[in-house]
Amino acid sequence: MFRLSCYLILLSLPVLAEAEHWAFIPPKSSVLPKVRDSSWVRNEIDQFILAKLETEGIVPSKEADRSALVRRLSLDLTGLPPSTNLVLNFIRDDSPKAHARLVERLLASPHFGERQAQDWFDLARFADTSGYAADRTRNVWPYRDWVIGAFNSNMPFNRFSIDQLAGDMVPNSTQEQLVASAFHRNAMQAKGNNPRKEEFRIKGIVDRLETTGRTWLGLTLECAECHDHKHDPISQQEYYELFAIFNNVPHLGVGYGVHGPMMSYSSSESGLKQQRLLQRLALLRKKIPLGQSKHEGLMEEWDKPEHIKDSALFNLTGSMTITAEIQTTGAIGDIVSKYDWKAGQRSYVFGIGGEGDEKADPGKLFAWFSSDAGTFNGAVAYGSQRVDDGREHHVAMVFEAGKAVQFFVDGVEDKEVRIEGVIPKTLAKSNRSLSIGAGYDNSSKATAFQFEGRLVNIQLYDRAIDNPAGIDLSSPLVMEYQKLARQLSKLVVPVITVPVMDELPEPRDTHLFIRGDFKNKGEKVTADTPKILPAIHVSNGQHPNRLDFARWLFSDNQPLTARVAVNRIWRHHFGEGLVRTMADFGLYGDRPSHPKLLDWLAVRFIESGWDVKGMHRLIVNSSTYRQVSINREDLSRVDPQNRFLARFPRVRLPAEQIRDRMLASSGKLSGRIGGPSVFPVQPPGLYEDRGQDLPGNSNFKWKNSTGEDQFRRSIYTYWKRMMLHPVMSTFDAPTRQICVAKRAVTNTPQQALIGMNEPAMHAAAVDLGKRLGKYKDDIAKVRFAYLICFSRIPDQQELEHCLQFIGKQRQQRAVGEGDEWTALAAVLLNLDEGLSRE
Amino acid sequence: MKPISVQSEFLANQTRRAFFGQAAAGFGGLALGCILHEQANAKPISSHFFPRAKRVISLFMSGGPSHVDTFDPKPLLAKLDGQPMPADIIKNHEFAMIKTKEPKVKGSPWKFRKHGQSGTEISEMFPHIASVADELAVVRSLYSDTFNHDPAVTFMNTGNVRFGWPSLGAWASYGLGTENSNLPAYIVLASGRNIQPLLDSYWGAGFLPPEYQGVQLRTQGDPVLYLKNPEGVSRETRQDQINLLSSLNRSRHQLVNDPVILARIKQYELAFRMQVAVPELADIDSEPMHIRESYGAESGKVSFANNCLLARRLSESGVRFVQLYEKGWDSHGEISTQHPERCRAVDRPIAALISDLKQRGLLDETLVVWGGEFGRTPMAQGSGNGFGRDHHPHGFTVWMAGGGIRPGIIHGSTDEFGYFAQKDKVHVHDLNATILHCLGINHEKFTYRHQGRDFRLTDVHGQVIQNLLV
Repeated sequence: MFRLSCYLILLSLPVLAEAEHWAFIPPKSSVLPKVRDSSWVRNEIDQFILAKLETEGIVPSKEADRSALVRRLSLDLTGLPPSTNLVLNFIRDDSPKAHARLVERLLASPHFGERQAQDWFDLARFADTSGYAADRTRNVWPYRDWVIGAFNSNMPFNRFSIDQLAGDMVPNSTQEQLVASAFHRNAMQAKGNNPRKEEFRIKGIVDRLETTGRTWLGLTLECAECHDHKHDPISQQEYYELFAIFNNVPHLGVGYGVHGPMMSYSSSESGLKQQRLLQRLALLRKKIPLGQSKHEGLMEEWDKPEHIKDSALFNLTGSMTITAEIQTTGAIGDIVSKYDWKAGQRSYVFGIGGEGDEKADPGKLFAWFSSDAGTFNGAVAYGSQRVDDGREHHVAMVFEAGKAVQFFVDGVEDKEVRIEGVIPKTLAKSNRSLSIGAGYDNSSKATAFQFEGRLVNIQLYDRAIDNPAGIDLSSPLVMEYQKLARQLSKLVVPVITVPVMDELPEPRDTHLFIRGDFKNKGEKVTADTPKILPAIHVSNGQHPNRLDFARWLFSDNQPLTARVAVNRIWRHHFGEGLVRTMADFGLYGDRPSHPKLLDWLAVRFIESGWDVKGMHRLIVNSSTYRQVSINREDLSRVDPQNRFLARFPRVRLPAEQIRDRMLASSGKLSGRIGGPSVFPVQPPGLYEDRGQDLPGNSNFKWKNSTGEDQFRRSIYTYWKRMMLHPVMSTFDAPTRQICVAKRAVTNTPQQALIGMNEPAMHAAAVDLGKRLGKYKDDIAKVRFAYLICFSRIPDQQELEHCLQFIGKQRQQRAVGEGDEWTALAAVLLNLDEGLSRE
Repeated sequence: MKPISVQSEFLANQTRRAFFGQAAAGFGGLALGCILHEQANAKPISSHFFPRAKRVISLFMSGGPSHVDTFDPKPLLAKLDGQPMPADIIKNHEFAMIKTKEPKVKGSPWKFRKHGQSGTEISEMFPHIASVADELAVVRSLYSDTFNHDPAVTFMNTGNVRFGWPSLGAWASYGLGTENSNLPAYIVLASGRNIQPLLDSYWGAGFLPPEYQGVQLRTQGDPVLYLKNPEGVSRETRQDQINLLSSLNRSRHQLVNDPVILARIKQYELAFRMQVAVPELADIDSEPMHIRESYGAESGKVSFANNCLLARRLSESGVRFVQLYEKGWDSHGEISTQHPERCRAVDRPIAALISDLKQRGLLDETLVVWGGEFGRTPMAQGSGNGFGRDHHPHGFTVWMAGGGIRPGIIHGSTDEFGYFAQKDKVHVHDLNATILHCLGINHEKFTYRHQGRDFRLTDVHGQVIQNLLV
């Protein structure tokens, strides 16, 4: 089978000894360089930048004015243009601390997380669909919201990373950490109705390695899939040693299918209400002495699952009561059974989920009783409350022969028990042993319906007990408990299924694939990290696992992680990294323009405890950041690529900001954060033309959102990998089929067509035109429009151009042509200045 | 001349510039955004060698047409019809849909006849294509590496089974730019019966700058998305808007001195011209009746015939790479009704396209390539009248015609079952290398630097098939 190798023509770059390559040596802080003009220096960044400029004989640019700075900071930190109030306040605030104060305000904005998450999602290849031809929806938006929240709460970058790489494996991991692990479930996944399911599983792992390499290590690991890396010191064997670390996600097995592990997730309002109720119930429950008293008629009690060897024991034929304390997430399992499903030895069973009975609800109590051992003859009882929520519960079943079956959860009777069949007056005897949560011991399926989780304090009585938990039903505590429990059982919580990571208990065997062909297995390999990098700590067993790997990225002497991360934060502000090849710090990657600055920042980042906001703060407070973005004549000659940073770079906004800004200018942008993805207006027929709506493929139709959802930030736009929203794709947003470390920036006529004609863009112009209506005077209107669009006041020439335009429109506009201010607004919204961050 | 967008990747990418020479005002190859250059100053780019073809029209039969029923007759199949396929041929082979252990040989229900002076054998399903048999170079020994649709189409187009690599059309528009700055350099047209979806990535730019990706020209609604002014905006108002945009942008440029602004001005002006130029070009009603009839084109319909006529118009106007997708060849069952239906849809338009190009003297400089992502198995899938054929990448047929191609030949062959490519095997990389060669490009030297490495369409593979060349 054919595979792509990555390298083609060796350029005549100097070949370095691998061990000496700068990026493989851990970063060290060096002494800050000396500068002549120390008055320009605001922080250490400036010292490095200025020292280099002075060496080159270049003078830095002057500081940008307040208008430019407020717009720059707001776009960089929150991805939104500043409100007119923010602009005016900042312009009027002449305190020397105004800049730093504004920075703090923006760093604290909940929109900070949205803007930073956007870049992260290109790496995480976060999208709403599975990719490949079928391209089906999958619910990964809880992961999206987790990332936004993590940036907003300034989660340290090491924790942020470890949770995403191995949140499922962190000891006592929370629901949120499990959601974070969806990072590596973003790999594309084929529907898999073909013989090559294994091939697609392998592709997913290849993708995980490629993404991990680009995101944290700045290495193009994928080049070693088929052969030893041609220029970086990574052998094919080492590639598959890393592969082994990621090869243990359960896939294709029972309960997983081609889609892999999933979790149930609820985050809606009712979900939050449910959580609050559960918390209060848990608190109350601790105060209620459940199951602490014993009743008459106790036959036996046990404190753990077991089989009772003597099968003649506990052959109850009349009324009985069983109580137990449980804690489980298993939806099906037996608590007590006297029964063999195969050998015609039926008597009674009490458990959860009904042994797979179609009428039973998973997670709810059930019991049955038979008067005939050979064929079932009796009654089945189904409870109405779930007890598989992983919390402690006291459960009880009361059987009154010939009369009733009752369930009690935490001392409270379940009033909605459903009973099918006739409650028998006597029970058959079974010659099988009594099983206490231990599964059947006496048929061909020895461990069927074993109880999973904690099962203690199991009591068996030979009579029906009135109040099996032994609590005071009239006490206020119990009354309140009952009330809340009823509320809880009435609550409907929409639950969605989110793909997350999971780890097989025993790692899969991993082989090297000869020439990358998964059917051509070579030597067996075991998990390890490349030798050129520091050794990995193995927490358990002989070989490192995924959690060890995640932690290894942040271990001492790890040369790459911090450099790659700060380089990315740097690029976010300066348009280019100090190393321009964001995902390749290897021998053929770009050299850093300021190696000592890069190392200083990396060390600072580590020493700060991987403080992400701190790194942004440092950068945007520097004098380097505050320079004007004017391209001086001398600079375009001596430093056309602006590598020395004697000016601030002027860059076009990313796709999302182009649209968000239009919405913000119209005054309609919704500030709502998180939730399911939305569907901004799109021309009809786009999917149908391509056959992407076919049943069996994505079976998907784009239904334009209405109401507030039309105006949500672009980060919430449904990201369809195989056909991105045209506004996003035309402004160079990646499809996120694979990890992208750096977007391209193009300048095409289609962008112009969108800017002027796309319905939402046009609507923004109409709305902006209306906003100007709050001023009567033409000059005031133009000035206000400039303030909205560019955070500044127009100069005289601009003002005149606009007024002339308005004058001409008034003379010549046809009836019904709409407002002349709409026409002007469309122009202003499309000016290059507005599409750029200057 | 400066590149129009500040793409450091681009600036850093010296390779192409080195090969095409600094005369490469050729940076102009910015697809829909060919932009900086008006038609007048768009000079041809110096190539590796003399380009026989200036343009490509790719006729992509999406789903995989059966080679043994169209261009690769295998009498043995009829003889052994219904018997098990020899086990030693298919051993260790997996099939996409055939699950039986003993798949049965299936002869073609269609007759083949020799056509033209070349005597090229063509199935009775293609009576019109048969009439231009002497223009075709039929490659019967193509083989691919993968047998599911999306990886296989991706492989044909990008030389890689995984997503993220540039398509042939993107490479061509990147390398050669456009001849018409009012139009995209790479245009895609789609028609046919929906079975498999068409994916953006088939005509994507991969790691090349996105302006080189194919632009789908829609045959219903706006031909290019958002081409029409919003309701209530007249052409005159738009003209005024563009004028104001240009003057305000220009004054910003005077202040900040960023060449991107000048490029932006050009883009808005180009978009304004496209609003007239594209609908004019897309209007097949402006063709004489006899031409429309020869293609079987009817305005207002979504059809391969319309797209073929449009392809000629686009190609004639200087669009570098036009790719037509005809969907619906994936005949796992009912091949005896499905294939004739598809053949009827494409037969006459293709013959008309070739004759039309020839009559206009354009065939010599336009390379036409016909084929799908794979062929179909010589064994039946299913049985009885409703039989079909499964995906088959081990040996199948494409044909080429026009610019740089030796007409009236058959190249290579499959074994007597039509199973494996046997004589003069042609790999997908060889095919792509040959197409680039016709365009004057040495596939081994045509690279793009991405994340520190030089990539090419054919990876480290590919040999130009000399026998196919004039």
